[in-house]
Amino acid sequence: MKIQKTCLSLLAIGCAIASSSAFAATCNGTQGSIAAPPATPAAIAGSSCGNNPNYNGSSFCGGVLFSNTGTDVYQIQMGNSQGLQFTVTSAAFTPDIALLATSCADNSTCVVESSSGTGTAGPAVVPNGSSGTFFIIVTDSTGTGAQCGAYNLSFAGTLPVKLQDFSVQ
Amino acid sequence: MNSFTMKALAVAVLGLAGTSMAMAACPTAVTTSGSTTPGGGGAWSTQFIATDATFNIVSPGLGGTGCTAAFSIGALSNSRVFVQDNSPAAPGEPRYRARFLVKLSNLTSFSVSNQTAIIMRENDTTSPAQFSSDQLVVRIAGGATPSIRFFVADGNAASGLVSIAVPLPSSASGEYRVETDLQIGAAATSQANGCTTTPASGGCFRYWVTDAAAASADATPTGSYVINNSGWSGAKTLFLGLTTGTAAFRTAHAGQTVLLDELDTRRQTFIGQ
Repeated sequence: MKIQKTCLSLLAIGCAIASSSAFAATCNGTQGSIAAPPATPAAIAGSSCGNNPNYNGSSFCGGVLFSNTGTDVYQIQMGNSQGLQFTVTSAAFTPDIALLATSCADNSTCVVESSSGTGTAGPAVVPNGSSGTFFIIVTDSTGTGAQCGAYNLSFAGTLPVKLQDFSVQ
Repeated sequence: MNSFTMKALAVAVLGLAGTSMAMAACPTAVTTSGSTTPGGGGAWSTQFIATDATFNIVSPGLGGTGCTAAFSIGALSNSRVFVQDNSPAAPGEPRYRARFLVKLSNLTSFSVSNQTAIIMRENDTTSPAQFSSDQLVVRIAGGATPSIRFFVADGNAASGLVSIAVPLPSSASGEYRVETDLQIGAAATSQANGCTTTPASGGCFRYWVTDAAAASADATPTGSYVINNSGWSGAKTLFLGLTTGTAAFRTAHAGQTVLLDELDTRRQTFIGQ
């Protein structure tokens, strides 16, 4: 039995925490860009198998597992104070969906993440926030079964009404 | 390296304490928030409890023992609680086996796969600069059948990891035994179930996930993976507890305890029951 000195133990904790976040797996490419709000984006029919193998073995949103067989990524440009809701349904796999901020790296800021353990994930509600580039993730975190396949990505029309002009005559 | 030396890993006292105290009160855990060194009165190198997390030693233990460690985290994103062992030899163990028991029955509705938390990590002193220095991370994940997830360092993978999901088998007691055997070494190609027997050299990960009451054998792991982890220096620090949880896990299971017991680590010999 060893009794360690405090400084050694604390150093080990610090090193572990620092090093564990040093690496980021980035998507190989996106499956396209989605028309930006305030127009409600059109629904998308996709298939995730074989896409973005860089994510295989990695995780997102603090530890949610990426599919080992394919993950889809869509880029979307959000305006200031614009929100969004999106839902994925699939008969082929159990979808897990998320919105990442800034980049498609697995350790990017997780705005929202959702799964229900069924063939439908969402609606993932993206709160009104700052403008910028965001990335919608469509994957399967179950670690079993097909973990990829055909799906439908749809959007709900809950986008805020933007005041374009206002005047008092 | 001494081939058949059982590592004097202090955290194994979790199990030993439970065994020896079957008819007596459990040891009193330090339950105050923050870092305590040494932990468990010297039973482990150090421990850490976040402000909204809990750590305790409760009865009954797992595997028929008297006492077990009980860990819970809260809703905060940095909530974590763990005991830590620093005793592996520097710069790290070229081969490292670990075994522990886990019980998840206090997690109500542990039913969705994004509910996941790390229960054990093996951290190395050095690793390739672009990758994490964890040579192995073990997670629990919810689901219709909850699973154990292994994240194993592998320089052949773009992410630096291979992940393996093992659905938990049926268990009358709800107690499961997890054992791992990780050897540092090179491999030209990574391959699932490619090293049922650990080779004399080369990267290899073997794992066993069984009902705690069921026997297991060195020759018949649940699975294996040929990996290229030659860039990692070998296990130097082990963390056991709940070192992080996803938002879905923290939301659904704040304050609910995961029981971990009977940790044993060695260099060479199979551990089993």
